[in-house]
Amino acid sequence: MKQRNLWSKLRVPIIFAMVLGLLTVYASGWQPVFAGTLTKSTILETNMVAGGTTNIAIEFTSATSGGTNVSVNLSNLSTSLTASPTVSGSSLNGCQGANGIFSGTITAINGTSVGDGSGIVTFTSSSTFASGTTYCTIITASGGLMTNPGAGTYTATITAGSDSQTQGLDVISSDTYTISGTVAQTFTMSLGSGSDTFTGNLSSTTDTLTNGETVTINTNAGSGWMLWAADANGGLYSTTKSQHVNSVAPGALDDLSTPGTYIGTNAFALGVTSVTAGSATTNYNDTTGPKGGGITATTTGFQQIASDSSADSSADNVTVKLIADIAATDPASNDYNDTITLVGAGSF
Amino acid sequence: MAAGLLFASFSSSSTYSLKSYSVGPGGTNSAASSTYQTQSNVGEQSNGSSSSTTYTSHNGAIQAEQLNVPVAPTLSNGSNTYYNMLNFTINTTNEPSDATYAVAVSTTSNFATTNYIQASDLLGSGQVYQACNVSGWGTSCSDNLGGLAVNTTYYFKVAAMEGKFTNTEFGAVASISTVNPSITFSVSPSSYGFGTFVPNVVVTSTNLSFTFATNAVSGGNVYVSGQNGGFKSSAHTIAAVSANLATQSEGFGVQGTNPGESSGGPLSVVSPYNGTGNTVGIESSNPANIFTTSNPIVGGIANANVQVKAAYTDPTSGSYQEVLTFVASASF
Repeated sequence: MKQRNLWSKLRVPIIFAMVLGLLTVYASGWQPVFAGTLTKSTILETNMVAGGTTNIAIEFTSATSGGTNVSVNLSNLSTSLTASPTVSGSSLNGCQGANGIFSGTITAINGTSVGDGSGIVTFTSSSTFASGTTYCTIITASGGLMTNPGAGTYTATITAGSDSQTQGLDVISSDTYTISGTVAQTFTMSLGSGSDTFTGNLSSTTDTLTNGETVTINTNAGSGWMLWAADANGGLYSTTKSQHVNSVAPGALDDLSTPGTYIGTNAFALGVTSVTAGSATTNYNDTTGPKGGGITATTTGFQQIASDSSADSSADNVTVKLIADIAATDPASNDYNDTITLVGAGSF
Repeated sequence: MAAGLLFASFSSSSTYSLKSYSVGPGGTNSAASSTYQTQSNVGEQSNGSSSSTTYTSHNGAIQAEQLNVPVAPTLSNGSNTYYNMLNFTINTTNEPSDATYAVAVSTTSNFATTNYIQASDLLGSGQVYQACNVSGWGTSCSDNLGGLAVNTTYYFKVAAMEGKFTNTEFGAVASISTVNPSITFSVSPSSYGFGTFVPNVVVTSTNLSFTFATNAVSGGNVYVSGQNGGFKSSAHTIAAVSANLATQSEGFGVQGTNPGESSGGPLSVVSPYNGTGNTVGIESSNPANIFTTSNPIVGGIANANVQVKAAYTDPTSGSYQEVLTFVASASF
């Protein structure tokens, strides 16, 4: 009898101990009941300027399976949507790394129509969300999905099935950087070696040419460039013998290989053998033989030998050769020389 | 009934009161199966508790086996950065080393609705006692509780247990709030003019300055895009390229430099914008990632410059211009 009364009084402590025992057993295999949450989500605005209109890209990784509706609650960011949005692909790099792209159509906007004040965009995926899968899409609208509020920090919430996650967004006063500049007018001209020599001794029985000198022109002149030539002596001159080999007269293309006319006489001419862009002046166009035109001393004037009328030249090369004939009576000497001055200009 | 009265009235005087006694072998009883265990004593007075505003005392052999009631846990929201989790540290002072602990959490101070931290570090309805070790609450008795709502205050209290039947009641309450998810970003200045620059020479702008901070657990990115895909005039566009402009006849591009942060991050420059010297990255109308961090970041900073090289053939007519847009995003 005493024993029964004793157990009766200990009833409450015994039940308490059993509850603890149940908890111990369940703890090992107990699954928490917890609402799923997006494991990762991103909202990328393509325009974050206060007062501007914007489109958005969203990317999220679903934590749970099931469901096809996705809503983006922009009510904290915008009280009204400015246009009917559409869902596009992933041309924005903000949608990089997505395993699946929404291709569904928008089934509801604000539940009823654009601009009802809810600020919620809802659309439907073409497939059921899979746990652990990343989805991405861009919500665009002609003229922008919505009008941004003033500068500040805001939140927006993505809801996908039972998953939901709140994002932070920063609307700033300026997100652009304008760079401007003007390309300077430029004209550069360079010579290959700065000196040229005849390929052999001058002769009274044949014409003799120099190896040639290349002139390189770079310019961004809108109307092309021109090249002129003049010399120091009006032809070759030997200081030691005080002997001239005079230039032919400018104004004609002379063939210095012509017997009787030039071979066996003193004659000196300049020919342009090639121009990569543009052309040689007719009187100096030496493309078919030892032909050239006369040049005068710098004190007398420059002769235009080549030009290019097209805009913007890069590495235009002009090759210039000199041609000489001598008379049999010209004294021998190794100091016959001339200095050719080449002048170029751009037409801007 | 006489016996019952006898056990209800323990020996006492004006100076003492006997609260329990044992009656020898058979006075205690333990039983167990695969699903439950019980422990019981005989010879003890039930309801032998007393309390004031500062303490509660329970009597009896089983009650005497209980541990000290844990004091309030230490809570952290990461210096106001955690928006979906909180850190808690169980105070183990005066508790034995083999104690296990359960943590109750509520969004109301009166714990009208109470959940408990599970082994998964999420909230659930059942109490889970874990030790302070690698497989439990961590060796420092500190862990992160995840899956929480933003901008919400949470209340925490802890109970301790040693063995199987000796859990304390939940102790003092501590509270802390999650914050809103946040991202802040700025770029300055808003313009730069190269003036007149000569062809065949690489010219470089002054530095753009960025600030970037976010508490997003997966960090964030800064993107760059351009209106023209290069430096454009009415007559010509110096196309944007990813290249060393020193070796190009012409080109235009962006270079990111000097990433840094006060804490978190780190912020880094993404290829092809991470070149040095005259090596730049291409820009187009599609935003391209120029800076990135995979973690929350505080006080993020970075610079960028724009470089251009004109060719001799580039016309001088009109002014060249490009408008770059910088966008930041974070992965929460």
